[in-house]
Amino acid sequence: MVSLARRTLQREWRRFVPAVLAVAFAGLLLTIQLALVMGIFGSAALYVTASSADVWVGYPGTQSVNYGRNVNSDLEMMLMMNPQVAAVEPLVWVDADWHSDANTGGVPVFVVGIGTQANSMLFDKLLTAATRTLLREPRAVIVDRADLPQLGVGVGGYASIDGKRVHVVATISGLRALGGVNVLCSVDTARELDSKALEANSAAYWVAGLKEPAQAPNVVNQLGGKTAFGAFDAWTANEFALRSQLYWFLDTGAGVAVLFMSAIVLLVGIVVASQALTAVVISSAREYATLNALGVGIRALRAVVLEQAAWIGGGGLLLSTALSSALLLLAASRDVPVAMSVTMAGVCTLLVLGIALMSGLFAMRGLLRADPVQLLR
Amino acid sequence: MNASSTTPSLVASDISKGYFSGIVRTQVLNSLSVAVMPGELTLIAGPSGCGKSTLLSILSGLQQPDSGHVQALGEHLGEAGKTDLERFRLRHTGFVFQGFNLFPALTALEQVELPLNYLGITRHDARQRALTALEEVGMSQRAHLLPAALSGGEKQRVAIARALAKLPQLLFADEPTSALDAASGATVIGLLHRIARNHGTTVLCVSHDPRLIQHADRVLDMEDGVIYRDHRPEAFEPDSGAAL
Repeated sequence: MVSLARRTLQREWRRFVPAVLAVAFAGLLLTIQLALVMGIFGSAALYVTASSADVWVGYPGTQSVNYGRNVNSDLEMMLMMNPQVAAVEPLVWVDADWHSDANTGGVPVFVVGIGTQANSMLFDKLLTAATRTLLREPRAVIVDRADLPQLGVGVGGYASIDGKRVHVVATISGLRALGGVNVLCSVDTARELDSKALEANSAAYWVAGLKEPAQAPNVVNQLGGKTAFGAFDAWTANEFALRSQLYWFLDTGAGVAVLFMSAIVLLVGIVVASQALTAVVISSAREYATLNALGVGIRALRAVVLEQAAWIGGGGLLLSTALSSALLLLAASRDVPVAMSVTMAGVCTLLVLGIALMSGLFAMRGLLRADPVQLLR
Repeated sequence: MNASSTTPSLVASDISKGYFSGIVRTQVLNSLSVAVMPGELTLIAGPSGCGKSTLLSILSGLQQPDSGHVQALGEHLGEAGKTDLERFRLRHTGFVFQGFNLFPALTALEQVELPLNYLGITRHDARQRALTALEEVGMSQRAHLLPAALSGGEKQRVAIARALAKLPQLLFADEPTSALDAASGATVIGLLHRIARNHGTTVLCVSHDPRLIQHADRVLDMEDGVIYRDHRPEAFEPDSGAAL
């Protein structure tokens, strides 16, 4: 069977280029925007997602992991008493000010004190055992390599946190934070830097590794009723990561802004692609009208337009995938926080095909001009 | 083969049609009645605006009259819905328009084959019928060419093949020679005439081109929405414009 849609696309492809580009760039914008948002907001849960701890215990009602406040040190004992718990570690969190010899002024930093043992759970997905060992040096810190320029210091250099001298012993990647700079150090260094701590054994979180990680929800339930160790909340790692991301996405208004931008991108993509496709349909209105005069039903003619839209969607998707992949790889190589998953890619694919389908539906209006009576004069 | 019969294939009874232009109503057809016979080339002639194209569109089922009845191949078109009319046209009618209306992206063969794909016949049969139709209009050697590579006369011959390949019982042509030079016009009208004679097809042609009168079996002269003269020109022998 002669495919009018395919033949037209093959032999008059230049007329479809604007539609394909509109779909491709709408897809590119959606993908990059989603990857950036997930990358940036993903960093809100970095402490949780970069660590292998199964249960987190912290200040009651904490909405995002970087809003931690010191909790009772007896919580360590409470966790140790649970038979499912295999290991417990503190996470010391200090909101501080960084000054360097370079002219960078004060930089707000989040000092994160973690265990220095080789098998420590916190940040074990980012730190090698050797790099972690470097933190055993008093006042040794590790920062993200992309943060060095704003910290005004290089590896091996010195700076001060709240007036106390620290030594940058190494850099890693993937440590960037929202609204400040993450600085890793040992628990002892962090407690030394925390001038506001009320007790020597302070910690913002106590995290636990379980013998059976799948038991995390049960352990959290078991902990929930206890009050003897002071006020606290307990979350599974997944819960706490999601809670932190949703807080930034929904409660800060950023999510609404992202959804609004996505809606605009979708709308622009549909309008531009449908205009281009409509122009192609209208330019062949007399030919379509002739087919209708010969008895080819309007439904069959609509199918031709939809097939063209589907091909445009396919072409736009390929182009969008190639461009998005290249840009995301470039962004990742430059330490720009981006994240992409199979689910996210699937969502983007559906949206791109949706743009093409909608443009096809709108372009069907062009067939209204395909009235065979108009051919008679 | 001469398939002329005494039973008309198209009958219009007392049809009227008017259009509104703003608040002004223009009456285009006035209580017109006519019967068109199969196996003949019937020419509706008349000046621009006399209603001949409107008559063609009503007789072919493209639009409905305001009043009166149309019977085509024994079916009352006034009682048919839009889908039924499309189905009727698909099975029984062919059209040739003044503009050739060929898709720029399709070869001559594909132009002819395309409507056949909707008839429910096999791909092989569609290809064969398209090739036969192109051969009948003398275009088989140019079947692989796109419209851009064809002359005006050749494009119109492809358009005729597109209509002819469906093996229609009714073939409607609206000003088929207006955009053509004299030689191409003669070839095209000769083809239409032969189709009527050889296939027994009812060929109804609308034109204000006086050169066509001598090629028609029957001429209906129209003016102001009525047929004021129905006559048969002197016998005409089809020319040798295209081999059949």
